[in-house]
Amino acid sequence: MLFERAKKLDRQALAEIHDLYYPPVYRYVHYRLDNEQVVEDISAEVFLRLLDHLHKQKGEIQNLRAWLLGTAAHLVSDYLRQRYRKPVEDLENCEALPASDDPHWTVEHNDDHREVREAMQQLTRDQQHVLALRFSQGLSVEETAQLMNKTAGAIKVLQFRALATLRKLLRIGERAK
Amino acid sequence: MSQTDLVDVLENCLQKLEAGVPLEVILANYPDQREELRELLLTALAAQSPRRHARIPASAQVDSRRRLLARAEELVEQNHRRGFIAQALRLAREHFQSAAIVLVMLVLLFIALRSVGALPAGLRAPQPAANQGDPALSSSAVLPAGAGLPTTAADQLNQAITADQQLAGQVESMISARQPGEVVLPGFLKAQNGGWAVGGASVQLPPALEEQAQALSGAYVEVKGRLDGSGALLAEDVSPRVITLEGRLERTGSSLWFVDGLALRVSDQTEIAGAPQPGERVQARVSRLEGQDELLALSITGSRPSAPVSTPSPEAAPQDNIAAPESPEPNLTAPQPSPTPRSIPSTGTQPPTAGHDEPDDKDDDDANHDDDDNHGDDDDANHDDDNDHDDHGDDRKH
Repeated sequence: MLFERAKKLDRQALAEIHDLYYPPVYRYVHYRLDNEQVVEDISAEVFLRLLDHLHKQKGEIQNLRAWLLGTAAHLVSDYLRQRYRKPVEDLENCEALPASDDPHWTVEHNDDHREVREAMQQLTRDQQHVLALRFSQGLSVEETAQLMNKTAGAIKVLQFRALATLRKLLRIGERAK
Repeated sequence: MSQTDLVDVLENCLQKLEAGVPLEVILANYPDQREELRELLLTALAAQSPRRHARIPASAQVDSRRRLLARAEELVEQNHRRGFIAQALRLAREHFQSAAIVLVMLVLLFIALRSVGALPAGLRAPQPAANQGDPALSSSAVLPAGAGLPTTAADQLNQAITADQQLAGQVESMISARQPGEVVLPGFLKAQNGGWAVGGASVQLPPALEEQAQALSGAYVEVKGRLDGSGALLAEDVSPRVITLEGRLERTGSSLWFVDGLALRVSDQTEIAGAPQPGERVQARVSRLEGQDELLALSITGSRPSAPVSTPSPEAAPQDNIAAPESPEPNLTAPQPSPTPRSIPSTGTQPPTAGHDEPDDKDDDDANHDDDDNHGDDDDANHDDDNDHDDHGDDRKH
């Protein structure tokens, strides 16, 4: 019912859908990118794309959450692709340090944070998507499989390979010794 | 152990890790794969770290919603204009009369005038009120409890802040409109011009509440009172606004504890119960601190039964508010706040839509990329970076 009303551009329905799905979309994008302004822009763009899709009646959306997160994944990938074509060191957009009673821990934690994101960006798109769905959304293997239109077994394999590759990139084994 | 088994073992270990089972306990079950699993699980913990800072700025959500609705309004207007023109042209074609042509001209003139706001107020399309009655700002637009989507403590906090902002906005509207009524106003209590203000709105306190207000000055409070119709808010009660959050305790420090990425400031006055340990789920009663990212922890409760270590100071008589605050005397014109969200399940529920679909190629750039959304198999076979393992039999979807 909510979605049907949204297709007619009903304001309340659109607002409810937005507020229902904004947190998971934001968390997904935030999980993959470290620029807060870009995270906010992409998160908003996801819903503008939804509106465009509804308005132009481009086709039925069978699973709204999958569609939104899939759109977020595409926008993130596009952004990363453009960024790697034109690498720019933008100091103004660096993450603000969170409040902490231990500045050394804060700096180290922030650097680890960025290092993890940068390492994940070297994984394949599906591997990044699996990790983002599993860890930013807290989805189970079965739910992730449904969203990605894959089997649970394929998701587990993706997850295993993603973590194995990430382990090497982060040199987890060397650090533990 | 084969690679296939290790894939399943890893998933089992990840589920236990998520449930709060200590790492060494998990690894004890797999002595032969201990080191490899340890590294993979440590990698998983590292991969979860970006989630810890996923605090959703309320302003970002509000701005995103505003942009969406503004764009929707443009599209609706566009549809209306097209409808007018189409209807007028149809009339002209059907009747082929000068009267129809005149009508078309009048309609076009109407649209042109309307677009520049030249119409008298009575003929203009009604604009929604700024705060009152705007469905986009109703508390029902806040993430409803029990929606089944996983929520972190940060989500719960944002939900509470959003609900409070809506309440405050509605009270401000009532004050501006000189409407009488019982209200609940959340906000930071400040001394102002010899009196008191909460969230920018002046509040008149009876003498009996003056001492309490002094004790709560600067704190995040909830004022229950009555608008007398002249714009004045007469307070009947002022109490700390306490928000109850549930989440995973990630780290403890001498003065800061972290729950789902939120920094909670603990002190000698913080009540610690249930012997909470990092990795476990806890319930925290907190209050906001103005201008700071931290929250003041009034109590943190783990799952184990134990005697409380310390008790809060007597003057803090909090009224518990779960993430979506409840008020026994709601604003007369405000929608009811959403009920208490449940504990976060490990699995989410599907949104209220039927069927299943993947995004289409609406983004032009996608045509230039290896769009693997349409493939039912693991696309890793096409990449060199992770073929260190023997290929499994890929489970293709039938």
